Amino acid sequence: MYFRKVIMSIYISLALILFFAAPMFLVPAYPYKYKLYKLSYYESDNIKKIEYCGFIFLDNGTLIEGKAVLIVMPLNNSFAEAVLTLHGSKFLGRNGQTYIRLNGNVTLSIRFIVDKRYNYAWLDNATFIGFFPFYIFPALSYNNVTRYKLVYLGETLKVDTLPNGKPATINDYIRLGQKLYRIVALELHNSYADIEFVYHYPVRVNARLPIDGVWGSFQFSLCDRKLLDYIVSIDDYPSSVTYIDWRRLVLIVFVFAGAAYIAYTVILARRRR
Amino acid sequence: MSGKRVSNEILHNVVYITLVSIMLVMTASAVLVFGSPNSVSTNMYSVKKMVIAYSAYSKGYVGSPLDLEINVKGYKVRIHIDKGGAYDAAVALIGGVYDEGIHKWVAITGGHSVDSKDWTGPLAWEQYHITLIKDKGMFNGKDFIAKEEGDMYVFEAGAYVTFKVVHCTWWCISKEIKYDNYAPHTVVYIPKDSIKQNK
Repeated sequence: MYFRKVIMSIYISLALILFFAAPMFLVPAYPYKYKLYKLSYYESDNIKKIEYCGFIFLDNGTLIEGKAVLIVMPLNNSFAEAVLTLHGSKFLGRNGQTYIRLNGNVTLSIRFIVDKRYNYAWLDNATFIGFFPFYIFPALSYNNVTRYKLVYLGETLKVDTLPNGKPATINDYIRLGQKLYRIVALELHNSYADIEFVYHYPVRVNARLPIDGVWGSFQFSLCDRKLLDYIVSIDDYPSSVTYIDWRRLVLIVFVFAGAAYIAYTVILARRRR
Repeated sequence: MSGKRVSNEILHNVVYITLVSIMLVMTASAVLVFGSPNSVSTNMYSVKKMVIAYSAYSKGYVGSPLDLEINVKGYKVRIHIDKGGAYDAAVALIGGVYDEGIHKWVAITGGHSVDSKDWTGPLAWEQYHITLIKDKGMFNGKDFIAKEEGDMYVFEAGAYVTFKVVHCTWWCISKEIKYDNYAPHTVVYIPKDSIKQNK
């Protein structure tokens, strides 16, 4: 009898421990093991080189196979203007553990303003990939976007969510010549920037920066046909979200039930006459 | 009876003649007022108010096709919407006044405008509710800027516009939500010597 009690108590305590410790096993592991390195370009030996005008990145194997010319022009102590021109036959980006390849000759020129304090270069194994928000790292899918915390100008960027808790996607319409592209994008925003993107790639960026005490704004809108075609081909974000409004359901049920009840009592009263 | 009829006819004639004379006076004064600048001044040409460039985006959801006229600071553009029962639309536009006498632009302006329309089906079973949730100028809050680049003036009009589209069925118990995002943007380069300078 005594042993049975001891064994029972061990079982119960084990069950209790498992019950309370269960959330520990349910927490999903992060699918990506990459780290976000916070390095200003003038603080790192690897990145310092880009201060020289016309420095050429050749076959670095991370973003582009081909060449990227980055020209950085200092504006003042805090900001620099950067012009990145990419020419390549193969663009590489990471989607989880696999590489995405974009074939065909592509020339892409992007012009942006770099904050020397907060606008960091994205590095993977100390190799230059690109500047945020002009390159999103890691790739943010619809399901994992709320798990990552991204910072721009010292402020966290957030994604709007719908009443059902899912992220809100936006339908971006871009016309190039006669063709109208519809890209379903997610939007990261804080008080300084609105960044619309698909996985790695920004579609539209509208940001504000204080330069020499005056607020300046810069825009980026993707207008490269090949890149747009490519983004459309990988875009699998849902264009709309459907859900049941439970409050409304309860309201409508009550209204119908009330109407039915009133009708029933009226009929009953007439019958009694 | 006959005397009354005669007096009615006289009254009718008097009213008719008075109205006709008022119309004649108005037409003559209008010709004098609006026609005089050309006849009085040495300028034989007229000024023309015209849309120089625009960028328009729209999306229709239900109903028959519609030609929608959107007004941006007095300049009008007509855009076609495939389904005009419920729709959202955004236009950025640059317009100007051109003096054909001196062959110069005397005024150039621009901006943006938005429009949307809701729709409710029979017995309110199905509905579309479209609301504007973001509407801001592209250039640090402004929707029109002018700047100099060499011997050209660059005029830009643009805005970021987001509409929330809620498609309801079952008296809005089931809701489908989507966001339409437009960034209409248009640029015009005009040589400095073809714009009249105010000195």
